[in-house]
Amino acid sequence: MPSLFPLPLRHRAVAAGLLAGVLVGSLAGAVARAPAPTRPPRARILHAAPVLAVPGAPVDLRFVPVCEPVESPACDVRAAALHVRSAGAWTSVPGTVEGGEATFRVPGELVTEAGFAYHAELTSATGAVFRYPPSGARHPIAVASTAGFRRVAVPADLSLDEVRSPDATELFLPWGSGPGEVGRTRPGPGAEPLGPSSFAVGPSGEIVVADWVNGRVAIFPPRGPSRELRLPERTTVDVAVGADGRIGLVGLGVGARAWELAPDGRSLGSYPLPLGAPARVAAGDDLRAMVAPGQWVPVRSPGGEPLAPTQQDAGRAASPTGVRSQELGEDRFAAAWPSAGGGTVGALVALPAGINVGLDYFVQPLGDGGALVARGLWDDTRMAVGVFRFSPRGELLDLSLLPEPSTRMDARFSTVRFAPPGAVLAAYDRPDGLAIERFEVIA
Amino acid sequence: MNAGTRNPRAVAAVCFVVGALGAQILLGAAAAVAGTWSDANCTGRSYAISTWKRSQAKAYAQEGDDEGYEWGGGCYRLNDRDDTPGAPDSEGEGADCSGFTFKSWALRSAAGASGFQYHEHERFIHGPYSTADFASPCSTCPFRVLSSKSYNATTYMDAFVYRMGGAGHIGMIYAEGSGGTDLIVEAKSDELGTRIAWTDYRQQSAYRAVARTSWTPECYPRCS
Repeated sequence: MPSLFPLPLRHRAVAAGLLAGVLVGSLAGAVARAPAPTRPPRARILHAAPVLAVPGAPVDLRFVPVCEPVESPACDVRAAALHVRSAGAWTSVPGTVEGGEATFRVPGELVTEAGFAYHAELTSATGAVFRYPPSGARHPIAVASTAGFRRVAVPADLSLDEVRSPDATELFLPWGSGPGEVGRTRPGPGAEPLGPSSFAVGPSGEIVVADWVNGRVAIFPPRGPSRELRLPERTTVDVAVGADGRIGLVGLGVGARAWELAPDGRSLGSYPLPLGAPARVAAGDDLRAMVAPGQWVPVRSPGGEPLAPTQQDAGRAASPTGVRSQELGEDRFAAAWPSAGGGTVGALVALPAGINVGLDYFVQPLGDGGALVARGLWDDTRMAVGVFRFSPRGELLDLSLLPEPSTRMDARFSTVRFAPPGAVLAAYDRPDGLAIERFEVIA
Repeated sequence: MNAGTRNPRAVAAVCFVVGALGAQILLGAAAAVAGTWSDANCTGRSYAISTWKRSQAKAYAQEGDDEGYEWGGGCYRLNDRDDTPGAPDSEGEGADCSGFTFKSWALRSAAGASGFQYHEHERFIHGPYSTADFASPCSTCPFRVLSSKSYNATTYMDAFVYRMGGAGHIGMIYAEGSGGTDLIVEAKSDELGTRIAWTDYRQQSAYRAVARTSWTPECYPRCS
């Protein structure tokens, strides 16, 4: 019988080697180009939690799953239930599902002067249950009430056109990549122009700018030369500075991470954020990220270890400092801050007809027991920043309107900052650079 | 040692490596001959469909999350990463903001045409509309600018658009929020790709609300 491979041994080795190599090489190439393999479903629930509610008034809640793969029946939410704890008892509230979202209305009778707490369950076509918060009834989301808050009506003649001029330019940074400059992305049709993504005010009055375009965090002290730290990832971030000078950073959107830098720029850690879609960071002893409006979670242990999702969930808080601010419909909002006596002071603010409540920039308690509250105010064609000054009893003492801040900063909550002892800093896009303007709001 | 005395296993191993490298080089050469990343990867199709719901558009847009961005582009390879990072305007992965909206809204390729056309993510198509067109729609366009940006006037998969000078942007409402913010799904930029994030286009003075018209009702085909 003739041999099927009538070659000398050496030639057979060459042929076999080449054939196997080509096969393996081609297979590797094909695998690299093939679509990603099917993965088990992964769901992340996005939910803006209210932090204040008016007793007796219903509260609407929305839960939005981001589930992959989208076409999986396990991602097809079919039913939803909300469990509300009010006056010590749990009540189930049915929800509606449309467009993959679950919405609920908490009846007014469950919104008491002591507030309420809740958790939700979303059930998919396969019977899989997504719980939010993940720890369910063990750590439900708590909503405080506005009982006892002072009611404030903003004068009807408020005009969003009548904004203040800045008292001084705190810092001007020309566009560029050199020292003392900050970058911006190329503007063009279909590409949103972006500049530095955020700024913060440090404990010594230094201004810290997330100059992500140039891969750096730039620090500008009140006096002396500026310095730069390397940004861990070249993406837009929110930035915050703790009382000890440590710098917190968080990427923006679903799947982003948080980082912490020592004052000298050393990396202290990188932390995953499996809950929500981060938008804001708070630095200090307890590095926290805002994963949705009204939900701040710790991201690391005191020793610097990343926290597991359950630990982040268990540490959830309405804010990192104990203050609260909440829109209540389109034309009202409430704000609360700690009183000098250890309680809470609050104000329930009604805006003039046609002016809507916008972004919650900050609630800053003041030494006299009052507070400064900065909120976006907008209508269909105009926007301004309202800086409300409240007395220790929640009375409105003053309202300043600042011009619309930078739209190139991607971390939207950090375009307006409090600067002790009594000023507000806001960022503005100029043709030749970024200006951080100073507005004195406390004489 | 001459060739005749070499270890056949060693010869086979060397030839294996040569073969594998050769195959990779040939694959690379084939891709190079094919041209850009989009030439090699954008094999999707577009075809007419009779219905398109907001929920379908939302799911379609969500699949763009974590993928790339390309000014003038339109093709995605769905693997939760930007396949062509740092390669702006070179026919890499992703749509730009207006192209992403065009595909998510299942608009037809002919400017101003009504009806639905499904564009597979892997189809390289931008569509006829720029941000200028979304901000100032033609009379026959299957989308319109809303008179108000209030939460009562909008719903998910409507969009916010601005056009000023030569610059513009459009992002779709993935889910409505409150206090001027929403979860926006958008093809953001070369550096940031396509993403879902909280942002405040609703309160920004430059933005207008724009909505696709003639969505198929969510109840279809069981609407009573």
